[in-house]
Amino acid sequence: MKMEVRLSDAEKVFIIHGAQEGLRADGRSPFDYRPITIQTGVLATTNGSARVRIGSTDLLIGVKAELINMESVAVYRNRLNFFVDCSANATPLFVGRGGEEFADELSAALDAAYDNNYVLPDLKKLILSPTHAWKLFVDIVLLQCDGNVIDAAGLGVKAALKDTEISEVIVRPADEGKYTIDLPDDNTVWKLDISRVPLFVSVNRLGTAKIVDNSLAEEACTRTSVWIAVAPQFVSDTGHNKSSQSPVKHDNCIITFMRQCDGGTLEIDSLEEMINIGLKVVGQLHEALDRRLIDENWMAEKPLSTFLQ
Amino acid sequence: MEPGPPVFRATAVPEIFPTPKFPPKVMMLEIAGPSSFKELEVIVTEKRVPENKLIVPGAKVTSNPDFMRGHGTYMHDDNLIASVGGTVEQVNKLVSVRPLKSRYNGEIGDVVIGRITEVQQKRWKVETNSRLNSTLLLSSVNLPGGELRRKSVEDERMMREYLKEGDLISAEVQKIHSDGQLSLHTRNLRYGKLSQGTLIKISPYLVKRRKSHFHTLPCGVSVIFGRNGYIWIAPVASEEQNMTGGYSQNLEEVVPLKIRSVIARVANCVNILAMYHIPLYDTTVVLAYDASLNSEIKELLKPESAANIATEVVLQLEKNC
Repeated sequence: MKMEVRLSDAEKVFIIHGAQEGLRADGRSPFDYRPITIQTGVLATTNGSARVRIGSTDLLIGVKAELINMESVAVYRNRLNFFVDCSANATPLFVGRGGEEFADELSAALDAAYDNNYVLPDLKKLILSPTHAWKLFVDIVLLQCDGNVIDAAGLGVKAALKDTEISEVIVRPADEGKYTIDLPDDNTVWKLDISRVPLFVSVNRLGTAKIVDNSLAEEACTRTSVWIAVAPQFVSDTGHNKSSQSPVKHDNCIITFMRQCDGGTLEIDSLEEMINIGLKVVGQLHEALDRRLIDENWMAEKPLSTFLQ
Repeated sequence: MEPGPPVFRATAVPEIFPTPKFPPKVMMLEIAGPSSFKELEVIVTEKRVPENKLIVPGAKVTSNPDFMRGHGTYMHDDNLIASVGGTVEQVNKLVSVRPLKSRYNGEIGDVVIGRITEVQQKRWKVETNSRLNSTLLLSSVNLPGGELRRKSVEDERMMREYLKEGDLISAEVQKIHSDGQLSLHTRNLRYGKLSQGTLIKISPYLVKRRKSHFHTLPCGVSVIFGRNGYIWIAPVASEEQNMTGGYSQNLEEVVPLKIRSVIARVANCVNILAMYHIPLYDTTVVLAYDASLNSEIKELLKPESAANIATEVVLQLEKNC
C-alpha cells in the first residue's frame, strides 16, 4: 500500500463490519462517493488544466502541447504522455523518491488505459506533417492524499482534456521535402473530442464487502482491489440502429484497462461481481462528469481563478 | 472512420465480457464546482478578541521591564517581541502569546488519546500529536484484570500482548520532561486500550480543558475528547471491558447498525464543528447531532449541510450564553 495509515485491529474490524453491513464510518453506503469537486482552467500557463477533489484527496492536472520534430511519422508513438508527481505536500513519506513507486503505478495505469486509437480520435489531428506533430503532456500533481487517487486522476484527466485548447497552425511545404510551421494571425484554437475518454473506478474488497471510493482508513483494511478504466461507446459508433435510437445514449461501454492491485486472491465470481459494480459506478461517473463540464461551459466566463484561491 | 473497437490488451477480457453494458442506474452521483459556503454568516459579536490583543511575529508586545516573558515571546534589547501569531495573554506579570494553531504542548493531568508506534524494552512509544513521541512505561499501566504487583521480566516479554503497534489508548499525562516529551500513565481503569470505534483528528486548540473528557451522549455513544485533538467515538463499553481496562477485546462482536449510524453521524458532526472552528465539548456535539437529524448521514459531508448545521449550533450557543 502506498500510504500506510496504521490502525489497530479493533478499528479495522469496525471498518470491515461497517462495509459488510452497508454503512461505512462516515455514513456512506458501499457505492457512494465522497463529495467530488472539479474545476477547470485553474492554471493559466497550460493548454488545459483541472483540479479534482474527492473528499480530502486533491489532484492538480495540467495538459501542455509541444510542437516537436520527429524523424518519421511511421515510428512516432502518437499517444498522451503521462507524468505523476507525488508531491511531498501530500505526506512526508513522499519526500525525495518516496512517492516514485506509487507515481509510476498511476502513470502506467493511465498510459495503458489511453493506449488505443478509440478513446481520443483527435489524436490523428496532432500529426501536422511528415516531420511535425503536437505532443501532449499530461502532468498530475498529488496535493493531498486521502485514498482513491486513481478515480480522481481519471476524472481530472478527462476534465483537463476537455479544457485543452491547441493552436491551429499553417503547414507550408519548404525545400527538400521539408515543412515549416506558422501561426495564423487570428490565433484560432481547436479542442479535443473527449466523448470517448475513459474514467477509472477502483473496486475494493473489505472482508466480504465490495466498495468504491476508499478513504485512507478503508485502504488500510482492503484485502485487494481492482482498477477498471471504462470508455463509453455510443450506439452511433457501432453503425447499427442509427435511425431508431438517440446517438447520445450510453448503453454500451468498452473496458480499456483492468488490473488487480495489492496482494490477496480473487475468486472468479468475486471478480465478475467487482467488474459489474465497477461498470455500474463508472457509468454514474461519466454522466455526472458530463453534467459538470456542461454546467461549467454554460457559466459566464469568470475572471481566471487559480487553484491558490 | 474507425475500423471497429480496439484490440483489448488483456486477452481474457473479451471472453468474459464480449460487449459489457452499463447496468441500470441505482444511485445518484453529483460532481460540484468549487463551493462558496466557507464563511459563516453569523458573527459572534461579544466573544470577539479585541483587536489590540492580536499580534503577529516580530511585533512588540511591551517594553515594560517589569513583565516576565512567557511562551510565544522573546526578548530583544529591552522589548518583548512576539515569536508566534496569535493573541496576547497576561496573567499578573507573565505575558505570553498563545498561537491559534499548534501541536499539542501537554499539561500534567490532561486526558489524551494516542497511538502506539513502537514497543521498546520497558516502554511503549505513543504518537499523541505532540512535538515528540510520548512515553508509556510498563510500570505506568494497569495489568489485565487489575492485578496489583510489580512488573517482572515475564511482563516485559509480554508487552506486545498488552499493546502492539497501531493500538489506540486513552491515557493521562503524568510528567513533562525538560525537552517537552510527555510521560503518560493508564493507572485508572477508565484509561487503557480502546476497542472498536472511530477516531477523528482535529486541531488541539478546539478542545478546551474541562472537568471530564469522558462522556456518554444521550444519543447512545461514548465520546472521549482528547486534549491533543483526537476524538474517540465508540459504542458504550461493556462491563467486562471496563473491568479490564480495555485489554479484553472481542473482535468478533458486531456493533449493531443503529449504534453504528449514530457513531457515523457524531463523527461527521465533529468534523463539521472542527471545520468551522467551533469549540468541541459535549454540549456542542449534542447540539450539532440534534441539528443534523434532519439530514441523511452522508449528506453531512456536503458543504451546504455542514454550513447549515454550524450556523444552527452557533445560534444555539449564543442563545444559551
